[in-house]
Amino acid sequence: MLNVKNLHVNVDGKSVLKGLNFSVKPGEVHAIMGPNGSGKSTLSKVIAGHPSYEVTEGSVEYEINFKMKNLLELSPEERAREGIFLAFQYPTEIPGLTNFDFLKASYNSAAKHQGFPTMDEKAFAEFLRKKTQIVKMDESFMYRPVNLGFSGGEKKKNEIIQMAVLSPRLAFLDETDSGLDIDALKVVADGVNQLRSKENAFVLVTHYQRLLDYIVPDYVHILAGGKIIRSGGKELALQLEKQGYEDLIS
Amino acid sequence: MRNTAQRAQHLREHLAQPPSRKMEDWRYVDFKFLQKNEYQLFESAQDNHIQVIDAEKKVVITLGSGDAQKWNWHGKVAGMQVRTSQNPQVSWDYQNFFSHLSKELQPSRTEIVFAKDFPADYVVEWHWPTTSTANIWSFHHVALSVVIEAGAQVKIVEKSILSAQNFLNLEVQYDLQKNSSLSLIKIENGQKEGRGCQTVRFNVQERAQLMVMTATAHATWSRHNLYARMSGEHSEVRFLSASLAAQNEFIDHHTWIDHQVGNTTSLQKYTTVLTEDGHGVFNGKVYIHRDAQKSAAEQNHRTLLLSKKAHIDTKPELLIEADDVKAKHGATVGQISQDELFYLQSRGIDEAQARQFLVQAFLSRLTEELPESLRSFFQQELKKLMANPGEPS
Repeated sequence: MLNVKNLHVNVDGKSVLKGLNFSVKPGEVHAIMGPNGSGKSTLSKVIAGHPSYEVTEGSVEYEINFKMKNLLELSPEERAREGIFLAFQYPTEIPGLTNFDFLKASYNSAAKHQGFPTMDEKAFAEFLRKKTQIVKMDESFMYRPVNLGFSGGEKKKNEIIQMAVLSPRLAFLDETDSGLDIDALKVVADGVNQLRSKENAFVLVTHYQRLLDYIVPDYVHILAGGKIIRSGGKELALQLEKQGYEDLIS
Repeated sequence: MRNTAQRAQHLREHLAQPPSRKMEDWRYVDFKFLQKNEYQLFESAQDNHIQVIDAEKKVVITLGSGDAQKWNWHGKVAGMQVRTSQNPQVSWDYQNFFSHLSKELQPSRTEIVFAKDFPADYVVEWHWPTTSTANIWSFHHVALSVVIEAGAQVKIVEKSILSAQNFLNLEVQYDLQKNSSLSLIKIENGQKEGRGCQTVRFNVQERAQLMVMTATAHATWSRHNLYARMSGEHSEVRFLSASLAAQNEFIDHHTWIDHQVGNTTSLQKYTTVLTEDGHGVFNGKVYIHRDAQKSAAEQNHRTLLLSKKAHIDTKPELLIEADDVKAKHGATVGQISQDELFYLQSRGIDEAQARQFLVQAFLSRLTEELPESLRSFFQQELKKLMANPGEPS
């Protein structure tokens, strides 16, 4: 469903990704690991369509209506409506806009695009209430401004609720485990596991093996110097945990 | 009393001499429109109406215009009366070019009085008149006095439409007596070539509480002068405002809060959104007199500029003579956060709607300051008013 070939990306004129190759099929879970500054977050942002990231070479193809299409031609909102989701490493706070209004608009724009019926306030309130249960979050958070005053863990849970609302086909989780205590990590991982299916795929971007104890990946990739330098199964993450990046990179 | 023709003549002569650069405080505002279009005094034969709707806990006041003195009551409510005074006790402090007209155009004055037994859970809704015949530039003048008697608690919602080719000139004086409270929400909806000036003076006595929330959008020319004299200890004043101006639109806020006695508290939170070539002015003053010790004042103006051509002039100002006070002021000017925009877009919301959400979010932060009972009403009104923020550029 996703084919990334020879991807080169510049951020503020600096080359960050330097020929990255990567592909994902439905039903798979991938983990991308790598040291600080290796380009992990850049890959997620490019897939989601952040305007500050300039693709200078290579291609990103994504399956839409059973055909592989150039993802880079789509705006961020078009990508989201086609089932791409990014769980942010640092979820943005938006004072003055409630989670409810934000998510209702998100859901309805995707539903409209995909030909599903949209929901009114009442129907969406019930739908959202059920989604909050996935990460055991109090419903009252949905009526507060987006991420404002939320703890680190609550912000990450809110990202998972958003993911549950939009039911994406391909989700990138950018360091979703960072800043989470062990209980919150289990809740978030459990939420992700509930959303897994044969039709969708997940890419976990993480520093640590810890998350992979709870969301077991099919593939683990090591990203260093703007490229994937090694791929393997879950055992690669365990090896990495023991030896550190330096040994595997050199 | 002058007759209609004399009043019309007075208006013509007055408008022919708009304020010069010297007369205008700080930022000169263009008054050319007063000479370009000949405004005619609009005096309607319509009566004033007061309708009490118990089922909605609402009192709706529909004003006639000019010198209309007849008040028709539909229903009854405790603690509210209307009277006309031929020799009104009006404070002419804080005078300006437009409020000055009241003396000549409306020498007698209607006074609306709320007593302690007025039901605190009722909302008073006022509709200011601006309809007139087409192809005439009409000048509407309304002057009123409102007395909130000791211990009374009143919520008022004022709705005005600045319709095309109309100028609405409001001059209202509120007297908040001991231990009274007033929540006043002013909603002004502008239209192309719709202009207006509001001058509202408040006298705030001991332990009285005043909250004014102004929301205005899309007026070709709109000025709001709010003046509060804090004459009683332990009184509180809060001025809040959300404004939007787009192409060929101008919004101008002048405030003056006078802490005349000690232990008084004031807060001003103003927000302005400007797009296309919209122009905004904020000229806010807080004056803490020498004897007004232990007073506290906060003043803050935030502007969101959505276009390179948009223009804001802002001057939050503190004048402090007392030496034991807490006071702070500030102004910020910014643009829509690209991170916030991307966050919304990454959830499938298109750019135009995301911008609209962020504008509304910027303005609606003020609603936290409102009493719970008025919050959702105001949010709905704000949504309608700010639905079309104009084109970014």
